[in-house]
Amino acid sequence: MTWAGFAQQLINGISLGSLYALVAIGYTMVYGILRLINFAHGDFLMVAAYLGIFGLAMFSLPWPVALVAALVITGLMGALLERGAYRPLRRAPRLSLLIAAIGASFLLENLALVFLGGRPLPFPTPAVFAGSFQVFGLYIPRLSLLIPGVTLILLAGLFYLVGRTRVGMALRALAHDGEATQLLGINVNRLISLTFVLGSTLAGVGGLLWAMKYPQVNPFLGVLPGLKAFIAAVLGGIGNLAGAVVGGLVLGVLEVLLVAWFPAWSGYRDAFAFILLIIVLLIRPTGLVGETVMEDKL
Amino acid sequence: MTPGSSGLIWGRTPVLKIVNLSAAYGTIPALTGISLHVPAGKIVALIGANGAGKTTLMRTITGLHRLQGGKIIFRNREIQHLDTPEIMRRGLALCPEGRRIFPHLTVQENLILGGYYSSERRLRRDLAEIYQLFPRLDERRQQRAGTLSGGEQQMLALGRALMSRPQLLLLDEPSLGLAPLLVQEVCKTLGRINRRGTTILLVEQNATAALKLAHYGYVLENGRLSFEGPGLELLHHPKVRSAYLGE
Repeated sequence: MTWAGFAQQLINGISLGSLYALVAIGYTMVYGILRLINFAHGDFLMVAAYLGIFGLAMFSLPWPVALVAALVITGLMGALLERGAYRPLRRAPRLSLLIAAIGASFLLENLALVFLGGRPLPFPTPAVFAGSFQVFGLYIPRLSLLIPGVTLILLAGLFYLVGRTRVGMALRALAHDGEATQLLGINVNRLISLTFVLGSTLAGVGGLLWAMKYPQVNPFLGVLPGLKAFIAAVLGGIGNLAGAVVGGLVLGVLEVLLVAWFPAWSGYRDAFAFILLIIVLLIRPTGLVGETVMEDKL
Repeated sequence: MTPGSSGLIWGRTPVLKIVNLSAAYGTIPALTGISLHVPAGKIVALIGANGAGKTTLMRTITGLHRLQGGKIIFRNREIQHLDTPEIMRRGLALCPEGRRIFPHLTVQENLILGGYYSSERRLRRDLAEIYQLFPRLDERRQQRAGTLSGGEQQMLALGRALMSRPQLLLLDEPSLGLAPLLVQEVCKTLGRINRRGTTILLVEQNATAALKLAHYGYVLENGRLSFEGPGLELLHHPKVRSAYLGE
């Protein structure tokens, strides 16, 4: 492969990895605080994508309004899911919570299937996000720069929130010891709701960008990216914010490079992520970054 | 004196009043018929051996453990039906057994969480006050709390509890795991905190230290209160001496 070709693939990989990272953050934050793998998390990509279609195509809203509205609703739905499905099980065995999460995932997918149909809908990507340009003979889609850019800004905001603000301190405290946090009079339920709002909003951003990258929206759109992001979170060390970002980027870049170097194996690109997961679990179960304890970064 | 009659309120309304409280783990009773008063401005000690129910009582008062019967009245309001954060926000603070500081947060972050709902101005003032009370914490404010020694961690847990300016400070075994010299230091600090106007309810296994410090004491045995009286009186009570001080 030429250097130009490599650079091209690297950009694609970083762009894909950024999307994984955005979604992986939600898995890792919820895990850090509730010790729950929220299997419904990936489906919020699908929710946001459909909401984006409604806003853009059905109501013909200006794109900033449509996209922000889609994100706000996605975020609230995340909090609603916690309120309705997970909070009542707070004192139940952890397995019940996990099964509730799987149930919530099926519910969301099948509700979409019943009400929106199984036929993929085209995503009306606003013109500002479309197109591409050429630099040094490289052909770069505008989205491939936009996705890492948006991700970078959002992650900077999130790291500031968690690392520097009073709410962030409380989130880190909650991840370590829920009872001790409650004993300080801190409203833990509100913090948990906030975690779900943040996580599903980021997943929503991922979903909208995903739908612009692959503009076919169907009820199962979130399944595979959701699983990949989960793998990315485990890869980086689940519960660790920085780990989720590293895991996402590593997975995205490796996946794209694998297909570029071995085109004959491109059919196995999804299997590759799972093979990577198995290897990491065998060799380094705490993940690439997750050597340190959970509440370290969250 | 019969348990629970508590003739000693020194003419003040109690900050905390517990009436006929019972608690259980499943079907196993942990506390039975507990009635006690904590008068404003005083230090009350509750002593008892391991497994007597001391920690259960603290967890029940703070709503972490649901009671089976009875009432908990804090500042003239029943609180037994509230959840933990609500109870604490009414002016209660607990320095829990094992300290439960957040080891990965800095000393300062731990303290700030104690004053989570304070305004920025009040937070700054309270931090300064805590650092004055515990100069060791001031020196280590940017250090991770997990790197502190046992005694310093106890100071941090105390400081964190005080950051909310509680009406009543609950302490669960503050002397646990501390060397005798440090126990003395903690007791001195508690006396100082009390003289500044904070009411204290202390549960302790270390009967001597606790009863010397307290104005009034209760003895907890197998989930029931068996004796009560002024601290020093209780300390010299023959039955207490034989049961807790090995005489």
